[in-house]
Amino acid sequence: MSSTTQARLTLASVLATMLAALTLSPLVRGKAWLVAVFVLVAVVAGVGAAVRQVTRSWLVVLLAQLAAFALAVTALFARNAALWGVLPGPEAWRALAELVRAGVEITEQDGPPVEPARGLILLVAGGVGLVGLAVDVLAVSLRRPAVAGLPLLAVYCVPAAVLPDGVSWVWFVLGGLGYLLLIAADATDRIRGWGRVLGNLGPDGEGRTMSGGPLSGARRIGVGALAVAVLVPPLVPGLGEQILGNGSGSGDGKGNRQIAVVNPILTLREDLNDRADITVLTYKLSGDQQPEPLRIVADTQYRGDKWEPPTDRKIPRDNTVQTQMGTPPGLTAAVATERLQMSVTVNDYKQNFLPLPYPAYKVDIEGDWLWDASTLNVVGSGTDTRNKQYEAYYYDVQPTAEQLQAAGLPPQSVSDEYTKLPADFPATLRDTAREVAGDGSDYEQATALQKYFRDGGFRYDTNAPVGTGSNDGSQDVLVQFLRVKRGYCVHFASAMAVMARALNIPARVAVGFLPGSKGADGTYTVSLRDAHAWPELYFDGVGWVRFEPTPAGRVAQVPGYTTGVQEPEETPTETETQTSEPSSSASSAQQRTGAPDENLGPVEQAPLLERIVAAIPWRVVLAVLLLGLLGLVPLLAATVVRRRRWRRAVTASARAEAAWEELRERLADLGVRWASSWTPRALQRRLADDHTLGGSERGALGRLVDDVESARYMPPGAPGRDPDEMGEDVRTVAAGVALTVPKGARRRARWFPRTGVEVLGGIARSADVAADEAGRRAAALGAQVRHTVGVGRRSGPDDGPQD
Amino acid sequence: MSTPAPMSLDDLVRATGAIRAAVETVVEGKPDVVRLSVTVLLAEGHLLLEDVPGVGKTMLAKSLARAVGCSVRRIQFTPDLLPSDVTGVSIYNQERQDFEFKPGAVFANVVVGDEINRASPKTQSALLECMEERQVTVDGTTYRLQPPFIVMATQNPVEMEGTYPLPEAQRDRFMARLSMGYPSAAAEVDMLERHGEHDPLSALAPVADAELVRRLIATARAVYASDAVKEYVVSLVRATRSTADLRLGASPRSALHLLRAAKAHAAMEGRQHVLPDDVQELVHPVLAHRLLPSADAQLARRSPEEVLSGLLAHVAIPRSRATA
Repeated sequence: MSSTTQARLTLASVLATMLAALTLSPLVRGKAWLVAVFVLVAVVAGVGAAVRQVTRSWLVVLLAQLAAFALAVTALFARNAALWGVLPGPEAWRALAELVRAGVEITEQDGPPVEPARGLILLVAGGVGLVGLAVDVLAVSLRRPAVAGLPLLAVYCVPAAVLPDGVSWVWFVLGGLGYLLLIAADATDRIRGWGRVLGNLGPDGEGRTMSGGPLSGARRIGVGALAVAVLVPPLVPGLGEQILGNGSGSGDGKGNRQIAVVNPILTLREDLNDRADITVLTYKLSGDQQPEPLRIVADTQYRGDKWEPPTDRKIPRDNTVQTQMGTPPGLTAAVATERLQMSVTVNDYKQNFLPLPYPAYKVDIEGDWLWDASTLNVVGSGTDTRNKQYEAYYYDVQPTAEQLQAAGLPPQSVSDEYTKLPADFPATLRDTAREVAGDGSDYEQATALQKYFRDGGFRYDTNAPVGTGSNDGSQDVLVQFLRVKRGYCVHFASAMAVMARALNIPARVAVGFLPGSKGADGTYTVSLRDAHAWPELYFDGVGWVRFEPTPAGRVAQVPGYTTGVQEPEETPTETETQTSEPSSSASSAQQRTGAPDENLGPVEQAPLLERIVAAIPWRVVLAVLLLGLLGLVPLLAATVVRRRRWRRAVTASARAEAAWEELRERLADLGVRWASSWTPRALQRRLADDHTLGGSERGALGRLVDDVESARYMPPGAPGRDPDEMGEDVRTVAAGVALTVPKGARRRARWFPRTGVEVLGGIARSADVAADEAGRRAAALGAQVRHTVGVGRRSGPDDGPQD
Repeated sequence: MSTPAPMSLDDLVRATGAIRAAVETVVEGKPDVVRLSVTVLLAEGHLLLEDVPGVGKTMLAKSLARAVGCSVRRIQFTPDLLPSDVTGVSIYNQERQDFEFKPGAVFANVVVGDEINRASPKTQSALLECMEERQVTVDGTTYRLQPPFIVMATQNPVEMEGTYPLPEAQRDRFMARLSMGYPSAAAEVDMLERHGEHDPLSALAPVADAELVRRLIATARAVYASDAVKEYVVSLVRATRSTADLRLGASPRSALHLLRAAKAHAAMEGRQHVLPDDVQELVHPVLAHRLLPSADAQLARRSPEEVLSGLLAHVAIPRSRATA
């Protein structure tokens, strides 16, 4: 297969994949994901095309493409967790897995079109990228473009299945055209393989005039079939549009059991869906303590239109919750704490974050659950909450108002992360915050903010405060919220957290459940409707403190909330609890010191495989891999140069010279060099003497010598041989000689050819020369300018006296 | 005289093969030397055989002359040999009352000049015009020499007693210089046996005639030399002029000689075109005797042959123009 064919097929497969990807556009908002899709598809196809220049093994090509795909995905989606931005280490994989999980949750939860969150983009781009890989492998590597329609069809099936009305015919036609293009690109070449394609036989139309070549008929059939597929179904009774659209079947095959999920990403612009009254979990308290809200996750990253959990965190593998969790950040022994316990049973609720009261210090649970030091978010590694049972141990933190009032400046690391606001943060919010909060201490400002939301005429509304104004600017959601004073818990929590950040109080938004309703036997039942969001503000010495800006009035609008719900809404519990218990604060301090020691212990408990994975020095491995890839550059350079030489050789003698030159290079790669003063026959003799060549190799060499002698020394006009044959002869000879050289030299010639190194050196030299030249010109120009200026200056005084 | 008709290369190979075989019945164990002699014959050059006495120089010259079946004249160069002995002399014929030209020894197809460096430079110079222009001018009358015309001069190495070194100008007129070298022991034994019984030279029957040789020459001349080969010849010759090891490099005439010899060589290989290999084969015999080593090279005891070998290893083979 010639390189032009490969290039054409590669382009066609990229085009077909991109056209198929377009059919996903009704599913995702915005166009940003298309860019990611294109980057991944292009990377895969480009790497494939490049590697194909070097090897004919489709397996090698596939491996290279997979590697490039992994690098590109990492660079696009997990740059922060990756080594040097592109190398996917274990952290990056974890970050990617997190994103995928987030993306899957979005698809499970939201209807189309969904928000283009990073996780979702990863899902879409990664999926289409893999489809592009499959198309590339099938169409270009294996040369089965017709089969490549299957992965393309898979892409098309997604919107066809998801969209209730099916896919618009426009997308169908686009996808179909892409596939036809791919097949046409292949067919054109196959027909060329039979001989020259005769185009227009003449304008006179004598006999059969093939206006568009032999493929025009096929083209007509393809386009016709596409048209029929679009036009006929609506005309045939009973078929309707069902071929194109309507794939309901959203059931999961287990009857009508529904799996509840709470999106850890808070999207401000979305309306609150009518949530099903599914029991998420039940729990029992160990004593008679007040029930606490169960936090699923703390969202730390404010993106203007949404809050996201920390995505760039690297959680050490030994942060398992079964032993001791980290100290609640900022909490000191001066604050009264009480150790409490609760046992939780989760129903059909699937989440990667474990719902826990804050701050928990230990969880007895099956599976690999890891805690994040800064947020105390508990993340499942390869596991989720579904049908889990666990025992949660937590502190009841009881700070006094004085302690909060006396809180000093937060540590720099905390305020850096938790007061971060987007560059385009609206001034309105900042101004309102200042106006509402006054000039008191952080604590006074915080309570003032909470009072503002609870008593400032805000009303609970499940509709997001958008639509009245321009809804494209994301910041406008909160501005709108302050204006219309309607929203639901997400907006209250977000607004308070954002405004606190504007006042330089570290803040984040917690997503979780209200305590739920208490049954007769003391068991609390938490429904999906109890899902809630609240702000957490940081006070030095106390740590993260929960606030509750959402007004109590919403209870009337959201049936199913019980009286227990209202409890934390009255006022922040923290401000009221004032009892101090020296004993528990001492234990808190003890736990703090104990924690690091115990962190070392659980290494033994980690599964063997994970320990092995953790023990691999990823940086070294990846550096070696990278070096290996870099090492392939000479091979690539040599191949490119050879191909270009063959392409440029149009005359018979130029082709013979190209073959000879390639032979020279290949032998030089093998360490067999020949002087420029050697005649072709001299080389022939020496090869025969020094390297025992077989009969076919001798024959090939003899033919090559004849070719080059004929090109150089015989009267011009000889027809010359087929370049493919000559190339074959060159390879035969080189392979024969390769057998006689040491293994090391052979391997070096295969993977690290000197020719490539020389080519690179040549490029470097010419760049050097060019730089010299540029420098010289610049100097000359400078001299000229100086000269001109100098002449002007000199002529000045000369002119003066004359005047 | 009409231009001789060229012949097919196969015939040429066959004819030259016969000539070589005939000569080799006399000069044993020296196929390379014989081959080179025939090459020079086909290239219309003159041959200088230089070696110590008694290795068969004259035998080679005489047997080649006899094998091609042309007219042969032999001149024994001695210190008292006069130029007119070479070129010929006009004598007054009393019967016809006119000067009559008595052709000298040079009027033959093959002129064997024995021990040419024993003659005085004046006599040696008499050969100059004959060799280069293939004509003799005596008393204002120019007489053309009949082709083929080849001078096969033998000489003892210049260090021997009683010799006048050949002037550079005359050395340059010889296409090639050959050194016989001592025969191998086996060949020497064989020689004793044969030459003891009878004279193989007298038994040598001609395998060609002048007409055939003329046609051979014409055929060899028609061999194609590509630009690349010509460039190669020129770059070799120019390299002898620029190297520091040589006081005197090769002349433009030597380039001409080299190419002509290469053509003859190619023709004898049955090839219609010249290869750089032909040129390389002939560089030493064609160029070496014209070169004068520099003082440095002499001190380092580097002979012109060695210098030429060095040049051969460095001068690049030109590629075809299309990709150059």
